[in-house]
Amino acid sequence: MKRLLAALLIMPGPVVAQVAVDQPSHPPPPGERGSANMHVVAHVPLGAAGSISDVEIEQDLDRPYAYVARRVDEIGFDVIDLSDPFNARVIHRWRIEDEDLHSGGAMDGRYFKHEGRTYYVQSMQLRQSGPNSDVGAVVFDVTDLPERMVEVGRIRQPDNPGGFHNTFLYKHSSGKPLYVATSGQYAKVFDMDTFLDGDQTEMDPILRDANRALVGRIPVPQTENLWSRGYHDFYVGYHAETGTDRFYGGGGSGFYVYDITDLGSPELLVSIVGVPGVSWGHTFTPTPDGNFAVGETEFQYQPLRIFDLRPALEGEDKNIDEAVGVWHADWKSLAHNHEVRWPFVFVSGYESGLSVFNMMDPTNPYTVGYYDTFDGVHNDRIAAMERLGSPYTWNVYDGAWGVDVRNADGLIVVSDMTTGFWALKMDGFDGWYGPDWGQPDVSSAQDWDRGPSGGNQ
Amino acid sequence: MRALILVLALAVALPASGQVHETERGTDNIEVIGHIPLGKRLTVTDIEMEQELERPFVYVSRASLVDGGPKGVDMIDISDPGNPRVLKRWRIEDNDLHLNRGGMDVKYFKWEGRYYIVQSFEFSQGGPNADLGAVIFDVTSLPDASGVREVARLRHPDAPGGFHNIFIYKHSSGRALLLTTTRGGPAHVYDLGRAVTGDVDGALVGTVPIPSSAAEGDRRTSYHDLYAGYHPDSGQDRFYGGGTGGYYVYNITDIENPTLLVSLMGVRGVDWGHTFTPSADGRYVVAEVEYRYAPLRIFDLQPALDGEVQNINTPISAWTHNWENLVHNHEVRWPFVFTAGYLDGFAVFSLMDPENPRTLGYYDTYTGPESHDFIPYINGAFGVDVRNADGLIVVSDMTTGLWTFRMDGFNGWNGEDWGQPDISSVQKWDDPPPGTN
Repeated sequence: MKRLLAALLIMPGPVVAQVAVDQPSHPPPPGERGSANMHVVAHVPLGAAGSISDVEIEQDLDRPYAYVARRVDEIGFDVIDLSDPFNARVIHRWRIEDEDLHSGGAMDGRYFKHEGRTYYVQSMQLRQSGPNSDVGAVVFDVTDLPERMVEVGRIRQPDNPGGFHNTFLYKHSSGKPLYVATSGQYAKVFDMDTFLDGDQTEMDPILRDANRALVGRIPVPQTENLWSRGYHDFYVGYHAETGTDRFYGGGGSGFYVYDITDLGSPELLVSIVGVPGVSWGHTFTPTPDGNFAVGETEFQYQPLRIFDLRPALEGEDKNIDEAVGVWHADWKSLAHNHEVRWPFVFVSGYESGLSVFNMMDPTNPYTVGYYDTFDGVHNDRIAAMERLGSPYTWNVYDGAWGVDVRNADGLIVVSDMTTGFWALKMDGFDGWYGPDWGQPDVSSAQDWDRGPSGGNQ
Repeated sequence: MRALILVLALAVALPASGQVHETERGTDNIEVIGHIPLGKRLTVTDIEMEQELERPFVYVSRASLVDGGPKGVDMIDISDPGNPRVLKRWRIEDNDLHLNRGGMDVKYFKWEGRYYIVQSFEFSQGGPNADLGAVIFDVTSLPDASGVREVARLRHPDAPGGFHNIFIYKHSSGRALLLTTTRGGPAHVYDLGRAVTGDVDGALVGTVPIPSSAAEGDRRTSYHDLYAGYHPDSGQDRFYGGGTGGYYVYNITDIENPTLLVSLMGVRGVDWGHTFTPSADGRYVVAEVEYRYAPLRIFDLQPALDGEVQNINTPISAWTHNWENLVHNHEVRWPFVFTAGYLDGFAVFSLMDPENPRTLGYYDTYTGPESHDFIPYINGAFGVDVRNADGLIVVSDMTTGLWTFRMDGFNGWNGEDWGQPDISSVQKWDDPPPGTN
């Protein structure tokens, strides 16, 4: 079986026809934890329930590393070596110093390459009841993995303590590696080249780290009755048709798209507010061509909504207030993060685990595969609170938190809040390259060597 | 070889499940008794059924939701439930001059030996009767439709636009009270005894506010729907309303001084409450919010009723017939909840385990498409009512008209048979006021 899966991992080839599958409600029948087309490559339990947050996988096959953020009693991140994917193993566990003094955790992790070296940026959310509440992220040089990694600095925002909940790393059309982070009422943009550059040793650490690299701030349009004044999550993608860099943010009272080609003057292109049931935007990811976007709002019973951005982008009306399509793995649950590889959307759906849906027809998305990484009790609030020990744990917030996809071979990785790290393969999905689907080659995976336009600017 | 190819071709042609389904319009335990189309599509709104078996009459509100249609109420004889028969089609005078929808909600009551219905209306300014909230009819003469007469009109000129929803409640004081939504502001409470005896101007006897905390900024507040029920444990008359910010429960024993008991605000995904109906004992409530993909939410009010908290913001469960659509009005007959689910038609679920509601049966009264000239998901089953004496179920479908159903094993409802107070939307007009013996 492992040989078969190994063959699948390396086998290039056409994508097989997809058929809709019904994800069973919980608990699934024995032996039906996943659809027949979904195969578990690796599973690495990582520790205490509730101690796991987001996941990131490097895209180069010769750097087979995944990073899993850790929280609560294990504040830091784990590095997982996937060089033998069937025997994935943890090779490093970085934890913040004086761990017991800190309250909070590491949330979102992103990597980037710059001037021949590879860096991993781990966002942190640490409360003011302990040290380092001004730390938004810790930056590591991970070039020398698997042997070692070195902390190279910390991004601090003392004016907005509490850290960065979500982040994104983007190779801007200017060539700069930009780190975008939730902070206060903004998505703040840090130039990682500036952050890494220069002699920092003689500067006051606060002055050195706080705003030296801050090169932009993307606002949430401030209107009445905002559910939140800041962003929760975002994505940045190159818009090939217009040659612009576009920011897609969820927060405030919905979702917002900005042109951030000129980082000093972000221009609002689209707002999505007034959508019934969406009082607050969460994760928001466009299709490679930027015509559609998948929007999540972080409430139980809410489906993922698919918005057609074109009417707003074409200038008819800057605001959109209805979705053209919706998708759910289980209407009693809640889909969380997602990665778009058109026409597929890979979803980490908390208690539903991993699901994949096809949005080739954005008005009729359908499930094409799933695997229940969580497999725990659903909607059991008391049990969830006892297990996770947090009064802020609602009964759907357990299970698959994050998901990522390696474009080179289609390997899917999932971080499950309770069960740990998973690597999976889906039949017929042996990698992703946008032009194969008539789309720009734009996804969350950056081309660090050539830039967002693939060197064709 | 050819046979093999044929088998393979069939295997490819079949859906993923390998089965071909004909339309399963209903479950075996739901029996269609009768059906009568009432006219043009999207002209049927809410429904009310009298509860006495010897008065087998149903009232269906009529409105124009798209481009013209009747605005009034149809009075229907269901003495033979298999063959419903329209007795009277009352229409507002100068029907076509009236703007906006028309008849929305209808309820009946009995007062001093006579039977009445209250038909709510929504008309907008620019045409006549924008201040009209409801018309009261004396329907005692039915089935002789010639004896039906209009008794009074309730107007609210300070907030034109009419009454979207209404409820009639026999208060512990013995009065027949009409609760109405208004276009902005509190719910109104009318003494129907006064209204039908000529004192229309003095009929407005109270209002039920929406808590000021629901009004953020300049936000206008209003109720969308309401219900009232007697609460035996406390001896209180309780008001249950859905509207701006969520849902609210008030003690309206003293109708001039309603007291807020419970609020359900800050519920994720609920910005504006719609229909809100308690269980017979007042512990659980079924709450609707009117947007697509929203399930009915079930809340346990006990922590608030016990004084542990005043606000509740988390449901204990939820139910939907089809998450891609929307469930609308509902009637609670513990443990059953009868629902009118717009595009999905009629469905029944059980609240026996409130944390795990379970579908028991359904019948799709509407098999047509979404509305392309109206709100897409608003078509099909609008209203539902249940006759407690024998369990007859009636549904008003916005396009297909009136339906009568029976559900296997449901031959009537008395709360005490289920260990509950005998309390539902049905009022006991001939009994002493609730709370008295």
